[in-house]
Amino acid sequence: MSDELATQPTLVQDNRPWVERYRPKSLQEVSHQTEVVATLQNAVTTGRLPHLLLYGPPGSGKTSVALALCRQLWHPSQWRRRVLELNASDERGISVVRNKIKHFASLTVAKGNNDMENYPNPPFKIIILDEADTVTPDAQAALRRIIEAHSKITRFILICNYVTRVIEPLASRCAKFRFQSLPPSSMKARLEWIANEQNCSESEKDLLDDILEYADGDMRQAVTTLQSVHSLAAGGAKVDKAALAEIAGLPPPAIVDMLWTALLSNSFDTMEKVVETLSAEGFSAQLLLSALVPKLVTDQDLNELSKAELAIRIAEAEKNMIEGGDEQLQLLTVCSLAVSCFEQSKTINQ
Amino acid sequence: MLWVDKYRPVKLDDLSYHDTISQRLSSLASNPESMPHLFFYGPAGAGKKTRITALLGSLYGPGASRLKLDKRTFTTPTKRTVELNMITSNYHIEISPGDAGLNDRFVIQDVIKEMASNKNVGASATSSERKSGAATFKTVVLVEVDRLSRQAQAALRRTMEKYASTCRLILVCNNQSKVIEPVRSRCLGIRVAAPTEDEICKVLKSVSINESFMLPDELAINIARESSRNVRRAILMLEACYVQKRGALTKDQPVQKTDWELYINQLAVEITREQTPQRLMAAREKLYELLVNCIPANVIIKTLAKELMKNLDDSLKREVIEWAAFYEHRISLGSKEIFHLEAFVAKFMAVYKKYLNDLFA
Repeated sequence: MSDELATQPTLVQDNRPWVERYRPKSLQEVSHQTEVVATLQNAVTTGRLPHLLLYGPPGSGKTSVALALCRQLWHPSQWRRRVLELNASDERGISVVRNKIKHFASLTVAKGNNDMENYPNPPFKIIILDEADTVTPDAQAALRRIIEAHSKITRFILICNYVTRVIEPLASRCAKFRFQSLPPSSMKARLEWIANEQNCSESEKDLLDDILEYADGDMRQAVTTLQSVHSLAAGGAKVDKAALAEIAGLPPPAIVDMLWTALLSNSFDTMEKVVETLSAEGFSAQLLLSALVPKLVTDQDLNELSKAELAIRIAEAEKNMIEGGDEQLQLLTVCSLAVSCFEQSKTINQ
Repeated sequence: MLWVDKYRPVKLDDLSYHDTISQRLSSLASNPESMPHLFFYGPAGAGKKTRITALLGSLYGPGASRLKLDKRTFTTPTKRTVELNMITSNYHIEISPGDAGLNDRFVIQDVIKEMASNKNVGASATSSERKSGAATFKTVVLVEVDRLSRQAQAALRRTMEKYASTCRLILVCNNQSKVIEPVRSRCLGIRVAAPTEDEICKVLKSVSINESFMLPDELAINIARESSRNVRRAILMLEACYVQKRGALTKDQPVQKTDWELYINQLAVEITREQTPQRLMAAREKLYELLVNCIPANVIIKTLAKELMKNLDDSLKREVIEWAAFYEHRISLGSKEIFHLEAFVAKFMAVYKKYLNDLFA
């Protein structure tokens, strides 16, 4: 249903977010993942394809590669019929695996018409299981046999962030491809291209390097940020480097420095006040902690033991926050430990 | 009508602080087609909801403020029904999917797919109220996204992209770290910081001018300080003061703290004074009293820790905060809050007693 919506020409052109609009249409367009692309390109020319398991960090192009592959295999009129895309937004319990996937997988495919000679048009169908790490283990177990039983006419593409969350018997049935997070150079080329397509102004293009820095190898984040910058600038709002951090949802460097000086101040009360302000300002404790880590690790004054102790505490606090602990309290515990560590090492150094 | 509601700004231009945010929002509203999904985060009472309502107003015109309360039932695949309140207008829908508990995933899937599958009626209609350049998409406002389960958040990921052409999401939350990274990276983040005390003073002043009474500067500053940077609370406090003195506000008038704060304050004093099993029993009664009055356990523990730390040594403070964090975390994991609250009190007594003994030994 969704796909039909997306193909309605009246809505598509200007309304989709850039991430969707500038998704690579063919494998050649995919940035950086040369090995994966080369192997799959080979599959396109020969028309032979194993089951695939694509894994890697978010925004590295896994879904894009899978979709681009499907586009290249079949004529546009055909490929929607040949491809079933299931993601975490669809119900994927064991019943779906039993019914929907089995049903789709068991139908044979008709021979393509003659007007499709430009496409390899291989005689099988593809089921894309996006975000496969959220499929329940039960359902994954049910998939094992289905994959084998229907492998004559169906190929599976499993996509996930963490390969460890896919059960081993399932993973061993697929050709595994690891996606690396993108290096800034190849991201920049793509971003520049998008910026040109969208007629972004020079000042926006100047921000590209900063956008890349904040995106940290996540292409989707970079494109989303670029779009946000563009739409803000189009409406007349001024966007500079400091505003960029906020758009990306990260604590700006000045804020991190403020916390850092508070930690060095040797006073619990100063630190507590700063932490309180920071939570009132709405900065996420988790992101603050991850910004603190490199600073703590490279600090000259701290002794090795305190560094280790702090690292453990930060990891614990992070886990506690994910489990529902209060951000402010957890941040306070880490910071209070840091304050006393600094105090200790100061007295030792003297 | 309470002043909080009466003086809630309805237009983006009327918003009283965070000018850069207002400017950003109005630039988004002026060019709705390129508006990405939005992710509002910030502490309670900072004005997130007010900003969203104002944004919706400028996106869709007055139609967006014609709201009705709907009760919808969803059926999960396991044939269980979930009932959920939602606030809807012709253009947007506001739900707090966290209320559905474990079944929040189905609610998300259902609501967004349903919203996205039919077009915005306002966009195709040629009624007079439709602004030129109004948005052609509908908006789903999801409040308290931080309460959503992992599965529900995972369900959001691809849905957000797929249905983006007909439906935009506005996510609202207090606690950014409970929202998974893939969802965050799909949105334009808007941080709504709590207003500073000066900004609160200005808001209070403008309320007093509109209500035409005199607000002494000292009192405004006092209220702002007591409100802990929460505008909603500040305005409520102001109204409380006003009612108490029947309009004649004086500058040295005490700002009413809420009952439960005073209660916790008292509890803190008691347990620092005496550390005995009898005291612990008394503390339990107080804690029960607080819980019965619907004060959330994590608020109790946070306020109590803050009160306790007021006159402690630095080394002790560290220990208290450590344990407060520990038990607060336990509260969120467990299901019986009273145990953890009591454990915290007992722990504090032990720590404090030991400290005193060491001091005088």
